[in-house]
Amino acid sequence: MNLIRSFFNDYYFTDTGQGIERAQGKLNLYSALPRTYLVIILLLLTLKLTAQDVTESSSGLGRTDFKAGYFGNISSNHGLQLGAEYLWKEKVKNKERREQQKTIRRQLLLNGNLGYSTNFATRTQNGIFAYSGLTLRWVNAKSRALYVELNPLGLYRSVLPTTYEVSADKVRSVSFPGRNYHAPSVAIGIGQFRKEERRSGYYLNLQYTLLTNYNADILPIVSLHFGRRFNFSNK
Amino acid sequence: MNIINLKTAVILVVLFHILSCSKEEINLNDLNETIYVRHRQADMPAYVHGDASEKTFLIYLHGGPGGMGLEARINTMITEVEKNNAVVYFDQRGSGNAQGNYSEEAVSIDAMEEDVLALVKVLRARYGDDAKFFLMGASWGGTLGPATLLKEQEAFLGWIDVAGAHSPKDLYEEYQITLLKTANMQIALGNSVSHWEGVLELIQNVGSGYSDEDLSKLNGKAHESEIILAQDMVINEPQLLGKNGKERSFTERNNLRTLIILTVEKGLYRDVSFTDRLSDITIPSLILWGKHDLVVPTKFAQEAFDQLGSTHKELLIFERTGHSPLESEPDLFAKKVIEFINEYR
Repeated sequence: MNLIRSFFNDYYFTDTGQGIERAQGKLNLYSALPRTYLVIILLLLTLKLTAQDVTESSSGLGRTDFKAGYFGNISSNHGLQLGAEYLWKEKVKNKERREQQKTIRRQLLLNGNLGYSTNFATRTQNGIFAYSGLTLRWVNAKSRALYVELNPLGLYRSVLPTTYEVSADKVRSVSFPGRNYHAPSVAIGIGQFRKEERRSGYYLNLQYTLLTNYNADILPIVSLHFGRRFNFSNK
Repeated sequence: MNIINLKTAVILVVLFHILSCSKEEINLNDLNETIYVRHRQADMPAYVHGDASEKTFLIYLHGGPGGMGLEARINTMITEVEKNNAVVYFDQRGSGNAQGNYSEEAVSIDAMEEDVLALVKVLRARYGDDAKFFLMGASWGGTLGPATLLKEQEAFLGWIDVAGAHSPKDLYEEYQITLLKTANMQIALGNSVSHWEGVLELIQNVGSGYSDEDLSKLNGKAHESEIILAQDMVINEPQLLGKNGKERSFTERNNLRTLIILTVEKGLYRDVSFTDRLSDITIPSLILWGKHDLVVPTKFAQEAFDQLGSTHKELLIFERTGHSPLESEPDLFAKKVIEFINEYR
């Protein structure tokens, strides 16, 4: 939660006065609301501000990268994932070093992802991951990027094979068996940001997800994500 | 628009996958399927394998707490027992690949024995009301097994106790006796002296009264000592061969919460014992134990045999085995299990 707050200190307060007011409102609510609801409210606020921001720059498609790639633990659980990242804020810093000018971009993105994973052999770990959040990205002059992702809005829907529910003496077959878990996550990663003339880059993220409430507790899952990103706008 | 189309395509692919998974043809001669039991907010997988043409099912209760059913799908369980009858490897609540959304109060032996009975109902619903069941429990499964049978033994034709801890609360004291005796014997034989001296040191340092910490140390040392016994060729080297003769490899997705709740918070090793109630179990019983079992010492084998109320009961001690006869003497294990099932089914 503190991470979210410091994140907004960096970016949110550089926005309009209206934004600052809302941010202050957020901080007042902090002690009054449960964490989950607070995060949801914050993200709704950011979405509204995003809409205001779009007019300042290029088209929505131009600011949006799409992702496709692998996620899983490499050994037993494997999945495919699709996602999108919308460039919401960007700060460009020019530095001069050894008589050369270097540009460092500091970007804040909104991301959304959808993936499906399985352990194949017994199909006991089949499930759909969907999550959304914020990505902080630093891109250096060579277009190499470093990411930190915070995804408070995460959902994991397990997809079970044939399932029967027993209640007292009654047994019934369950349609579309599975169970929903709240699945917030954080990730760090590296990658290559697409250059002006290129339409793709790669990403490699290490993600830490918590499924809750899972068997009377929390289940941590560490996964590796890698793939390509694309931008479909005409340059 | 493109994004919408893309998401629609992904959703359709997932739906096709789900639908294709749920379309089923049951081949009783060679079952190979995973079905889930949903009971009291838990979803627990049962891996069903083998020949069910005679509708005979052996339900396996794994060890732990916190193990997984497929731990026993090795060696002759695959090559012999599954050819004789179907075997149901069941992941208990909070174990293996079981999942669910429930409170800590829902983690108890009582809930878990009802889960086993729910499994029986599910198997009947899926394979027919004429299905017949045997129950096998290993180690902790030998705690849950008697608990289940004491609730409803009529559901089963027989009970196979494989080094089962029917009295977890007596383990603390028995560890100290058995480890001391074994350590002295192995030192006298000149086997791995430094290890066994470490065992003696541990026994001297643990308190006389029960503590979770000391129990954990003794249990860990018992497991470690069985590896030493195998290295010194006192027992056979455990084999864990899966299908196609390759080393067993299964993945689980779980946390340790169930283990902690049962053992520490609900006092499994401090309070639980079914010894005095074993006489109420009257179905045919087979007791299989390793002579060199340090994890659930052989004292409990004789105790189970003496206390069970079954008219038809048999005790077999495996001479070159520690805690797992299936791993150390798989041929004899399968032979006895098959004989027992065929006699009483």
